[in-house]
Amino acid sequence: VGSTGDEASAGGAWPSRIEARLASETWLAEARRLAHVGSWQWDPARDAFEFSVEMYWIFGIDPAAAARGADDSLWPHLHPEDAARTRAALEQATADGRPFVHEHRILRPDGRVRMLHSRGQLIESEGGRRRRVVGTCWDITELWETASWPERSISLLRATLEATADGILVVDRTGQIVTYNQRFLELWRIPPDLAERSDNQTLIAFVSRQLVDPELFVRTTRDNQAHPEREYFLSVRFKDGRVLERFSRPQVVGSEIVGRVLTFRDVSEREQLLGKAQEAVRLRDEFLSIAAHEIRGPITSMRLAVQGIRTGVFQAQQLASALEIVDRSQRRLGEFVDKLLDLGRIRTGMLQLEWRPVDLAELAREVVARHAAELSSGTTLHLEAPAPVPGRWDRFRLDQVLTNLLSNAVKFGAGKPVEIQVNAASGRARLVVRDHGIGIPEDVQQRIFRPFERGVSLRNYGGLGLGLHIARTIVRGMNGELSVDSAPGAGATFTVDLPQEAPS
Amino acid sequence: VSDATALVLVVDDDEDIRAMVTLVLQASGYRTLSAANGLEALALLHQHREVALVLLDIMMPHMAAPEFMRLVRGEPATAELPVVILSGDTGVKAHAAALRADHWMIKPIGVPELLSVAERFARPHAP
Repeated sequence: VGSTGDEASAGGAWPSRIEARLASETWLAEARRLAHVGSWQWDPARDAFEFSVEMYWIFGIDPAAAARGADDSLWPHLHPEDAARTRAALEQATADGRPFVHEHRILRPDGRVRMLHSRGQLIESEGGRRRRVVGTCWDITELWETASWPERSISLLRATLEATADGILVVDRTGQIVTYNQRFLELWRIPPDLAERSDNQTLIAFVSRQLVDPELFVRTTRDNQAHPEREYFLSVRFKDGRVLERFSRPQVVGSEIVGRVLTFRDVSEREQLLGKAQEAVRLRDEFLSIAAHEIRGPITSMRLAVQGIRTGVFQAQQLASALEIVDRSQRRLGEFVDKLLDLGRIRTGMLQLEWRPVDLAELAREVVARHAAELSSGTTLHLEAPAPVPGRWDRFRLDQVLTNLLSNAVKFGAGKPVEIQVNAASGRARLVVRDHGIGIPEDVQQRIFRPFERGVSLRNYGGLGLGLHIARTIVRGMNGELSVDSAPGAGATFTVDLPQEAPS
Repeated sequence: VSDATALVLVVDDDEDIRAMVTLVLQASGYRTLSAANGLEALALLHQHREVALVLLDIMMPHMAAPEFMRLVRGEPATAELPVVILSGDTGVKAHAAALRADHWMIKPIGVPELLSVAERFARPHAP
């Protein structure tokens, strides 16, 4: 602010007024305060500062309080992280006499941080005896915040990108990779160095190899590129069973589409739960259909019998047969209801066991005899139980287990003989039921013990699919185990292993 | 009953249903054969050319209805043999059509129904 010549030509009547205001110290002070500019000088020999009043405004302290002598140094105001650097800059300026420009932060008493732009230079007077560094300080906090905004925005974006659970990939219009997050690499099992040095085609080839349907993926990716304005959704199924959802949206700057943002979400868990739920519903529906079938059979027999009897078509001998069938049918329905009740008890953990002394060999003889009497398919049962096998078990429930194993053996035994063995060794009882029928493939062997599951197709074999589940639950309830050993075509061997002593 | 000597083949894996259906038919003057599955039924058909009607369950182990019907309809001697599907399945009508059966009955069936079907389809073979 000096010559008034130029301003005179520009402003006409202004110069004298401006000069008048310039002369006013208050105006200058006001201007400096508004500009957040303060001035200072530093005596390196005494490490003493002198500040203009604006410096106190910048420091955030009351100049009146400062005048009482409390704050005559820069050092306490400096931000701790910038203190050493700032002192070094001042000392350097003192040493080499060159102008110094330095940006540093200060810490106000209220805890707020301000960014200052300081300039200064060494001034020597009195023949070099008096040395001062004289300078200005400009509070550039607002400017600095504005200037660092893009950088901070990018850092915020980056942090957001990395914090999300989704994999994110950004590509340009030509499909080349712009950026991605770590999650993206993880989801696609992409080694970081591969991502760094590969072009898009290599990456697409790498990732599509992991998919159940690579062609679909490659095709839709190409399609995405051909129609930059469109949004896409694709469910991506991996060979390892994972499922990702890919959302693809155009990236727009102003009104121009510059590329595409793809997000990948791992929905494997959801898909698995969904699959389980669907399977449970399927099993339930199948169960209902089997249950209907199981009930309908006996009812059909009974209806025919009752109507036949009522219309009087039967001869005496036929009448006896019809009544026998009615009796068998009502028993079948009763057993069916028992199974349902057992399932209910198992499901609610209410299966009660009555521990009594039981001879497993004798029980086996009884069950085998009962079955042999009812067999009509030509299957023969061979029991091998040379000695009594005493223990403390629930007789009624053990009977149920044996009955189930025997009827399965007959049902799936292809008419061939079924062998039953009962023996004991080292405090454990063993009951083995072996058939020589269709056998059970390895993958089906565990499934047959789950409720409602069956080893064979429902179309060909009836049955609720509950028997083995109930049997195993009973055996485990008695601290034993029911296991199976089988191969397709080689028959099946079911083994019940039970401790002879009941738990105390 | 005019068709009293007609031979009816009852195919069902439910032993009691099989026994009861044959009992009712016999009591009404029909002759009967019974089989627990398609395989057994085929063998019986082969032995007894005079079978006039087959009452057929759908779900059976060792050859269910579809395979049985394919073989029966593919054989000139039995291509026209009356077959009535007997099933608890609510889709039995569609099943019967798909299997090229002549008629269907939904379980549980009653005696009047059974006899009317037998009378309608079990025409005796020409002596």
